[in-house]
Amino acid sequence: MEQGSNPPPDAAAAADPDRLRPPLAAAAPPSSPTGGVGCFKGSAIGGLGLALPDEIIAEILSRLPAKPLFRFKCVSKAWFALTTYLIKKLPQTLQGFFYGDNSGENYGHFINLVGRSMPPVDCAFSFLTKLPEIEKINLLGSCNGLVLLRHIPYVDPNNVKALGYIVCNPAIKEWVAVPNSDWTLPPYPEELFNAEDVLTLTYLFFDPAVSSQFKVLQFCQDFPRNVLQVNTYSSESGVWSGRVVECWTHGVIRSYMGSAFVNGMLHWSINRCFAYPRDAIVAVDGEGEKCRIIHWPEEERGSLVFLGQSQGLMHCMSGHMDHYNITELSIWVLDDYDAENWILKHSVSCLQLFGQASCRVRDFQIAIHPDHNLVFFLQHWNMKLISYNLDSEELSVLWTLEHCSGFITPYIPCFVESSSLAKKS
Amino acid sequence: MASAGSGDEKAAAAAMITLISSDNEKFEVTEATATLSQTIRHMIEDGCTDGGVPLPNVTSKILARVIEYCKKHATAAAGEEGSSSSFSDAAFLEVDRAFLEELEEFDDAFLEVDRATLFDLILAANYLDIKGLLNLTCQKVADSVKGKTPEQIREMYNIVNDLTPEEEAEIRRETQWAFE
Repeated sequence: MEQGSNPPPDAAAAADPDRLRPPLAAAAPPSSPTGGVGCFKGSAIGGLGLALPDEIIAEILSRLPAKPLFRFKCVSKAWFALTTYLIKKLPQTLQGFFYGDNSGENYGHFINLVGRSMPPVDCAFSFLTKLPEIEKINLLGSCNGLVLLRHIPYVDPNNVKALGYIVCNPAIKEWVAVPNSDWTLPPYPEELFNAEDVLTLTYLFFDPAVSSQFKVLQFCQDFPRNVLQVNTYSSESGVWSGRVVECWTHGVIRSYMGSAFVNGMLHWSINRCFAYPRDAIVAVDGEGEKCRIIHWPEEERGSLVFLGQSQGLMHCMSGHMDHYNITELSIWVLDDYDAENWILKHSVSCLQLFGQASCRVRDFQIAIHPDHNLVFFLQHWNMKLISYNLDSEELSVLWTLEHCSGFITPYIPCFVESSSLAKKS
Repeated sequence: MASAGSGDEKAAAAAMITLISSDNEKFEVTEATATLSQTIRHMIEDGCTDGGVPLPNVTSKILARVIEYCKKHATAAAGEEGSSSSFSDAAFLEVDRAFLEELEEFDDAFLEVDRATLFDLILAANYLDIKGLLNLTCQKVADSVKGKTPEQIREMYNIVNDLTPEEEAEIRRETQWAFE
């Protein structure tokens, strides 16, 4: 080796001590103000009891899946702190779907896709329903681990003013009440069943990677379903703010086709009455502001039947129609959001999927796996939930939903506590 | 693999580094082997390896094992570079596959050590910043605890349970599913 004018070893080491620092020192978990994690950090051979630095023990245990981490919580106090910390770091993925039976509720049952590798989900929300202040609840939706529920008091369920919402995290049994907005339903025909559900679309807006705070967006529609007002609730301020909107989308939000949380915005399919093509996608930010209309040339791609998020990208499904029936489904990926560049990912015939040549949009509910090339169909005619792998084209019947109300809500558990959900049951 | 050897490789092989264990044993290794350690790589870049590299945290017994690992994996790295640049036919892919399998077998055999040695290897891999070895050894420990009960963990590692019986009962109630 040429040495030349290089400094002697001691000088080099002194000049840059970081170079000799073990790599794991930087990977150690931050100390928490609540004291949980702080008690195992820092010491060379610390409270965890193994003859290894605590950073390395953290590195080793971070390789474990959820089940042993939960099991090792009761080894000792230091292990409790470390495993609790590591559980929050577990990758989040789809655990399954909530659904209700014909008792009138749309929750209470859970299709578990991951078996016994994750904690069971309290799908009856018993941590809430056991509380005296909570009466009837209705599941409105979920977003990245949080669940939005409508609270319906028994005393006067018709008193719209009295209703409120609950946002909860079933994985850690935390929740918070959200008051009603000042919106009152406009006149509607008496025969309109579930007028509030039809005319008020309420969505949760939550991204733990960005903020521990959540928002609730409420789209208030008149009877022909024009959006009249957008209300936004922020968990940070604890208040609703409303915005009257004029000709908001020039179209009807088709909430039954799903929604996609992509690029920090929520997206829905809309049906525009006076525009061509009629299908489009609207993007809304956390303030309820319409940010964008993404065009959907249905002539080329077929009619939109579903949109969702997978692997960080918006995915849409379109149906190729024979009169009013779908004969083939195509899955499209919005590869470049800004340039609106869509890529056809897959096409499959109804025959291959459902064993029948054609079907209607309302014959099934669609969902997409957030991490895999996997789509789900709840077949309304036999209440079977099937999955279809876009890579292997493998079709599996996952579950037959006994007496199902016909609607499933996907659920991704999140073990991170949020300052916005204060109450612990 | 041998045919992929070149003048450059011979030149690299000629550059030798001396590593000195905590009990003062000297190990002469090629630069290619030594630079699997980021710590040593930085020292070489800084030109502070003349007269040998003292490693006061690593005993000769452990250093010998670490060098054994680095030698094997340095050859693997050189082999990969050689094959991909000169050949890409099926015969060579076959050789690569066989070599990767051999490497896997080597790693499995390498990990057949007692717990104290495994922990010493982890400490050495961390100190010397050898990513592959740290990965391998940490995963080995993770695999060995994965199926254990809390009692077995306490017994294996002499951990004192400082939770009160009430605290432990409550945690167990909340995590009952993980014991089934």
